[in-house]
Amino acid sequence: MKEKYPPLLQVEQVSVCYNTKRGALKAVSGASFTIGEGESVALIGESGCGKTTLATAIVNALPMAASITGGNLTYYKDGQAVNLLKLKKNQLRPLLWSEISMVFQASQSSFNPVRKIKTQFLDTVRTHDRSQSREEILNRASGLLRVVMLEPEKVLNAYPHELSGGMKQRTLIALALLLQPKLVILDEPTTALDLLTQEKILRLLKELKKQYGFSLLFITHDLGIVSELADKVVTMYAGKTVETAPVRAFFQNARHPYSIGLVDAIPRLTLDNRPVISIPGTPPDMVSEERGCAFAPRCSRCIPICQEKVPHSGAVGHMDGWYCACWNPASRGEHIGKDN
Amino acid sequence: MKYLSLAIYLLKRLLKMLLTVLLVTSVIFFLVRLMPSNPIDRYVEDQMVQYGITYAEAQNRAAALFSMDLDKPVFEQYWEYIGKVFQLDFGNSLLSPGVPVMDIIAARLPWTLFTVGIGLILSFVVGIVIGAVMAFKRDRWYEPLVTGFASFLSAIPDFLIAICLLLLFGVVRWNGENPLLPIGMMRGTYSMQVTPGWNIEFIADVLRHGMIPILTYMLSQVGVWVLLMKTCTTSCLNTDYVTMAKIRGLSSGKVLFSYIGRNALLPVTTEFFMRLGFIVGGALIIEQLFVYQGIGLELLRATNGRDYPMMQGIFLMMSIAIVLCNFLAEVLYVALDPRIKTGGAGKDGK
Ligand SMILES: Nc1ncnc2c1ncn2[C@@H]1O[C@H](COP(=O)(O)OP(=O)(O)OP(=O)(O)O)[C@@H](O)[C@H]1O
Ligand SMILES: [Mg+2]
Repeated sequence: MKEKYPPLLQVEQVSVCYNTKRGALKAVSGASFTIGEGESVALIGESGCGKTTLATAIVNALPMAASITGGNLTYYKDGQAVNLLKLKKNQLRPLLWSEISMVFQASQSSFNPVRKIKTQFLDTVRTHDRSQSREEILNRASGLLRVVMLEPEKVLNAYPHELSGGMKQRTLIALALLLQPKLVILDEPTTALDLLTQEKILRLLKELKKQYGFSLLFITHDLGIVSELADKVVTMYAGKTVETAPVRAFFQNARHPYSIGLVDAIPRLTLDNRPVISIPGTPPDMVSEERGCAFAPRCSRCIPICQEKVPHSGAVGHMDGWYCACWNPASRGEHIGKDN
Repeated sequence: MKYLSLAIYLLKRLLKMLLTVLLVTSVIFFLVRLMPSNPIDRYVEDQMVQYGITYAEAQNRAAALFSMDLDKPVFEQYWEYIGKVFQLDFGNSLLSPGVPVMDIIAARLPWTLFTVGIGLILSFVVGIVIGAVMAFKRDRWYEPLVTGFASFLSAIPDFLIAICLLLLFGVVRWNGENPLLPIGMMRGTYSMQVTPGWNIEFIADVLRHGMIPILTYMLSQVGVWVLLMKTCTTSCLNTDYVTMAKIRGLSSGKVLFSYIGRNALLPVTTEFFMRLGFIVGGALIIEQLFVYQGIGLELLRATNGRDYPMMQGIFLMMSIAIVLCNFLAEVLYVALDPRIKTGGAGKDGK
């Protein structure tokens, strides 16, 4: 099987540190994965493992306390490679939102509280394209708002505090698609929503993706969403990307013990009565100096070398784009991989 | 419908303000009379000390001078006073017989408004600029120095600042020559030899006389604005909507004014209007120190001589100004922040 998607964004060995009172907190260390054109990538992992930090680094919006300590973010703009980390502010600005947009995890306060939603839609377009008229912009905004099942007149003329949490989230998704970006990053897009709305948003995202053909990087804790929406799954643990796998392979045949743990932790409604197994222990403190694999203390497949050396990411399985950083990856049902 | 409810709201507020002013005026009326001594005793003492005349003689002079009957029952006096106030008659000054209180206030107030007002505006403008800049540079080495100095300035009393300025400009002989400013010549509001009016000479003279008081007012308040603006800006800088605006690719100028500045200025503007009300009161100590003939000095004089009508007049002015400015601050806050709805104007209109 060939790589289906030409690369759009390559994350290579990216590391991010927070300056904290206790010392440098390595929130992301050496994360690598690729997002292809039109591909949707799910980024999963326990709370605090650095997913938001990594996503925020892509759009250069890290807080002052954070600094990127290494790596490359190669973005392919019309086939030309640019390193987002090397760009000057005014070179990066035109790329933001028109090429890469992002909806925050805490999207509840993502709008300026003293300006109408309308103004913020207008602002966004005008920054990137001065030629469009007010009517054009508002028309497109209305169209998108209708797509996310909101009443455009009501929402556009409202102040942010007049919208409910779910409405704000959907408005943001509409705003994120306003300039037809190539890559949309969604940080836990559905956590603020009830199950029904979640379901609607998911269907919507799928449809929008088909319609506009953008790539998607989304962060979630819900593996149900992953299975519905993702083409590829990136598992993070303690700031590292421990496994990158095509979505089917991930669910059927994950290699990294941590990924297996995550899959086994989902309660299933199917007939096989595999028990729900949670992963013992807690993630490590990311300030202290590491030795060996960060997951080793919680790992059931731990062997002596795991305590000594940090495992490197290497290709596994029979499919392209399947990498795992483990000294002793699971081999459970290796044959299943072949029927893809 | 909307305008009607707005009109009703404004009317309600106006009545409330009137009531507040009336209440304050009444309390002041009794408070000034509760102070020990009274205008006649004060005058008599003064005359005896100054001119060495006998008690009886001084008493005679006083009787000729004071038209006010202070022996009438207090409540009778009170009703009389309130009645006159409603006809906008605030009585005559006791110390300057025959001169209406409002004439004196009208002559003094502009000087106070000029110095205290300019001092406030200057401190506000300088303060918010420095405060905002410090919020952006809060990881630089000089930020704690500037913030520390601002807290220092806002902590020390204004008359100490005035004295320091006097020493620096008017007393210390830098490099052995004359002091920087002829402080002795700069008392009062303007020099005797210039003719008041719109001529360069007069304006320059007024500015020269007002300079040090203005500088004092500015320095004594600038710290508060720096600290307030820095806090507000810092809290806005870290909000999601500012991060989001940056991710949307908005230019730094747009983010600075439309997102950070607009939100950071909300509490600062309200505070500014609250303080604006207090400039009418002037600054007693500072005006006394510089012998600046503003309303504060007049109030001091009136208090020393127990000039009841004068004191009442000045306090009335002050309470009206403060109540009005509070109202302005409130209206402005509602206008600037859509999240706040007034009890009356917002919802009933529908
Ligand atoms: N502003 C900050 N200052 C210092 N440390 C931070 C800051 N933001 C995040 N961190 C730390 O960085 C680590 C990664 O945080 P991040 O928000 O990326 O996690 P996450 O994977 O998105 O978690 P969640 O699933 O809960 O959203 C955490 O250990 C957190 O404590
Ligand atoms: Mg997060």
